Order: sequence, then C-alpha cells, then structure tokens
Amino acid sequence: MALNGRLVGKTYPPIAFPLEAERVAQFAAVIGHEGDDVPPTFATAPELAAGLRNVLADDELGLDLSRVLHADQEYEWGRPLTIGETITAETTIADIRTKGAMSFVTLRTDLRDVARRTVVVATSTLLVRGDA
Amino acid sequence: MTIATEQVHVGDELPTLERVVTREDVKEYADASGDQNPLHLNDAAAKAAGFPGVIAHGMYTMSHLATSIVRWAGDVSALTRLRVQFRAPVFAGETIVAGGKVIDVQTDRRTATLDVWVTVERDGKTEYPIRRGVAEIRLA
Repeated sequence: MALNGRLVGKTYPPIAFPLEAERVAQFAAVIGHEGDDVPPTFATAPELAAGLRNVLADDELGLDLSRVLHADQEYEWGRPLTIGETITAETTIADIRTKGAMSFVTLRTDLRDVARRTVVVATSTLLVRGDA
Repeated sequence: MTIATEQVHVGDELPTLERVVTREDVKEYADASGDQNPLHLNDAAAKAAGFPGVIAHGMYTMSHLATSIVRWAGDVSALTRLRVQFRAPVFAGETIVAGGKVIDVQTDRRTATLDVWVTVERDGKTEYPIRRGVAEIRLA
C-alpha cells in the first residue's frame, strides 16, 4: 500500500522525554560506551518515543511496523545530551517517495532543551516493503 | 580529552572495534532504546520478513560505530554529525567490526571528516552493514 504523500510537511505534537540516569546507563552498557556521560546515539530514545507515539499511531499515514526496515539515519549534534535534562522531541514528515513496490518515508525530529534550543536534529529514513 | 587538530592527518585510520552481538544484547538494546520491533526479538517475525532469525537493530550497529569514533576522538562532544545507510542485516551471534579513516582535516575550523564503516564476516565474505558513513568531528 502506497503511503499518503500529501502528508509531507505534517508536524506532530512534541513529546517530553526526561533523560533518566538509569536508562542512560543501561543504554551505555549495551553499546560499550565508556564514561558517565550520555552516549551521542542515546538521541534515538527520545526520537523513537516521539515516532512511536505519533507517526506509527497515525492512521492517516498508515505505516505498518511489520513492513518497516531502517534505511538511513543521520544525527547532527549541537551539544552533548546531559543526564537529568528533559528533551522535547518534535517530528515532521520531511519526505515520502515511492520506488516500485517500496516506499521511503523520511522523518526529521528536532530534539530541544528546556530553553527551546535545538540539541540534536535526527533524520531517519524508513523503507516500507509493499505487497509482493 | 578531545584529540588535537595537530594530531590528525588525512589517511589516519581509527583503531578497529569489535563486538559480538548476542541475542541478549539485542534484547537489552530494545529495552534501552524503546525499539521493540519483533524483527529484533522474535525469530518467527524475522523469518516472516525473510531473515533466517532475529536481526540486530540498525541503530545498535550505528551506536557501536559511534562508540568507536568517540573512543578515538576522546570525548562525546567531538562528534557533531554522523550519517549512515543500513546496507546489510546483522544477525544475532555475529561479530561486528567498526572502522574509519580520516578523509579531510579542516585545520582553520579545527574539524575533520571521517569515512566510517562496520563490517561482518559471513560465509567467507566481508559484508558491510554500514559502508561509506560520514562523521564530522570537532577537534581540540
């Protein structure tokens, strides 16, 4: 099923994500990160929380998780994340493309701190397999 | 402490970093990241998608790569950009190896650009779950 291309530009309500020490430590341990600071790719956790809450739940978009593969990922960091801060994650559908039976959806998620400064920009492209 | 501009030269290779990706790691990563896609947790779901068994999250492989870059660069604040394409799956039990090479040093801005990758040996061949990734580094 082709994704609804008219949704490009749609921005979802931001979600709040507190960076809890225990969760950061669990993440750091499993990826082999050394030190007590926040691993840069912990940005995935708030990015994904926003994506799961909003994008996958969007019936208008019709994204079926069982058909989704992660194709491409980019992070741009303005500064490191810090334990104890609360980040807001706001996702926008940046692009939807169809290539044969496959669709690609690109999501841009802005992670901002309490002062509304952008800390990380996450760009994720998902490949959605079509019907065989 | 972040590596100094004067210590970084075009052609420098990052020390490779190996990790065996266990099924338990994949489960633990699913919990820590919040990505509970059954492709990573349930063999039947992975088989339905055409894989022989559960696959690691692409983001797990990317995180391992980021760990190797941060170890080389000396500090988390050094990594300002990382872009990758996921080109091949990683199966539970396999060993991933992160590597990279300095392809540009911007001495005036005290930044460097790296070509980065992750390999896995499978059936006598080297596969690239990540190939031609790009990392931007802020040097001291």
